[in-house]
Amino acid sequence: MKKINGSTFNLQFAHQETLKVEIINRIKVGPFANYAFNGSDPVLPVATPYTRQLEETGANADPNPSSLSVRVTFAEQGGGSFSIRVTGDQGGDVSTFDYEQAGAQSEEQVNYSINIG
Amino acid sequence: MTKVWTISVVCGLLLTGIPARADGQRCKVDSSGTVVAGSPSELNDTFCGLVNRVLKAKKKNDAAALNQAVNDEFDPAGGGNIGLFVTALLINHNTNSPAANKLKGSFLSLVEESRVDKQVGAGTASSGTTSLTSKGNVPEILGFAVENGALTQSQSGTTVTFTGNPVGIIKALGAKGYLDGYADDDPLTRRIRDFSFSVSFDTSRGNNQGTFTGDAQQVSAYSFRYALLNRRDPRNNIYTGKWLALAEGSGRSATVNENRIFAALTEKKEGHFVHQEFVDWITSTNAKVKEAASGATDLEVANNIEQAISNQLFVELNKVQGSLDDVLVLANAYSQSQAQFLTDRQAILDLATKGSIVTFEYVNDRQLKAPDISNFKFIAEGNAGSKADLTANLSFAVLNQVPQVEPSANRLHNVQASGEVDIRAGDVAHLGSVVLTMSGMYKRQLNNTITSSGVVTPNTKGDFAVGQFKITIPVKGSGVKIPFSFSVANRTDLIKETDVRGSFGFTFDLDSIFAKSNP
Repeated sequence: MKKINGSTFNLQFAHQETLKVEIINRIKVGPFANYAFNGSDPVLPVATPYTRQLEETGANADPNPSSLSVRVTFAEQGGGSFSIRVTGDQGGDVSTFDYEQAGAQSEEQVNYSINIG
Repeated sequence: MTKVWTISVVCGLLLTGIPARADGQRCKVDSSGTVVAGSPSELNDTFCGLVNRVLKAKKKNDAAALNQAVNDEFDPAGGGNIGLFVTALLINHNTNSPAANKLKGSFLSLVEESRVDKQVGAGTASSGTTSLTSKGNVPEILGFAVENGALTQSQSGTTVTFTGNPVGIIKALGAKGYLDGYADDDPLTRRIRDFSFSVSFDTSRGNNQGTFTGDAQQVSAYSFRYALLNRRDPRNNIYTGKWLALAEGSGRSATVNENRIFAALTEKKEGHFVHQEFVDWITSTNAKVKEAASGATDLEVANNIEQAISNQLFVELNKVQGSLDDVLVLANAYSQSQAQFLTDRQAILDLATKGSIVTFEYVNDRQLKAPDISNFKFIAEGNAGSKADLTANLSFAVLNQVPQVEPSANRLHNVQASGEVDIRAGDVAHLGSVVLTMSGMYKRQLNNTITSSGVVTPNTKGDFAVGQFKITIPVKGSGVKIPFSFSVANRTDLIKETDVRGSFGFTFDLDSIFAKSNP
């Protein structure tokens, strides 16, 4: 995986590379995270990494760029924080996004452009 | 009837922030230098959080860090602000939309200040206390209380109490700040977090009587607590099913709807953005925020950043709205699901505020010229309705050793029961959430009282009954609360006469300050 122009959210993956999203350093966040990859919508325990093999071509080719959204819900009325780490299984860059709950903010949804090929 | 009224000077610890301007400004800079919402709401908290992040980056005095921070906030390829941009779109498009109004609403108010389940001050046995019944929770990092008065002792005193949690304090002092003070999912850390402690100092003891020195001579009590049950923590396992239902219900809808908006805004055809005007708007916002991040003071920098972002969201974005008709359709769907998500999440938090707490507390009460007394107390706390909190205490105390001045003393020194009702009276005269408390306590003392000079006072064993009314006034936004109490007792430890007295002090819960000032 490579960060395009150093962007945290504009990421380049190789064909059939598996992306991994981890929500780490979790402080006062809810036990589940929502994901949406081009509209598909898995719910996972917040400690469980989200993975997906990306396809540039073929019958199961993904849109290019694809859109990935990660929603973390804060479990209390303040003091929450987390980091999102996105990596690819072929090495390269690591995208890290650190976030602190603002006031009593309820959730934070982070969106990524996933470029393939 | 003895009447004792005690008045002392309360330290003027006012940590109020700089008020928001009257011209519609959303944010203010608080005493810790953090940008916070002047009027908390989902929209204002999110908006001011964005201003704060840019301000924090500016404070580093590193142009590259500021550049990267602003690029992360305003990146056409993604980021964490799409929800804010969409909310601004909706507000610009239709200010009367119920869904947009829901997002703007200030339903997330000063919840921390309205909590009544924390014991910050001294326990009931102290000579300086305003509490008849101990509460189930304590501050997560450190609490500080100065209280003047007594409930069943003849002599009123001033007690300074520090209360805290070892995990929170160690990590908070580790220069990582409050937010890194926890590893929520680590089972060992969660267990340790259930422990807390307190140390009370009696300022009438030691070489400098009347002055708080904090030395060992002034230690009048220390305690350890363990939370056997804490259903007021929304992360307690009993709420897991509710969180899953939230994630699979409105959380899923809102996530997917925002994902669709994001996909539409970043859609390309033949190598060009379909919504090039929006991309240009983000690029322009990026540049204008960088340009605005200057000023002589934090407040000035924050004001400039806020003004730039506000202008971009509510003036410039409006100008490109005509090219975003398809996005607005998606945005309306998003606002409905997001509003439902906010309601559903709040329902879980509301449920948790009604949860039960059961705590065990051990207090070692250090006597001056008599054996120390070990108090073993069970504290149960529950909820009655939306505004009332019920607390019950059951305890017994044993003498750590038989006193030499009274060899026939019973090792079981006393048994005690008390109950308390706390009622949240709401925001009275814009002071914050005022709490009214009524409590009662019964104690059977099995031994005669030994005075601080080591003399046994005959015929002082017997029954105590105390009733109390207390009003606790918060200092808005500061973590400081000022309790005033009025109590009536059938007797004191030395005198078998009805006793009426007033007491007051202040308590300071550092949790709210650390939450704002993490580095």
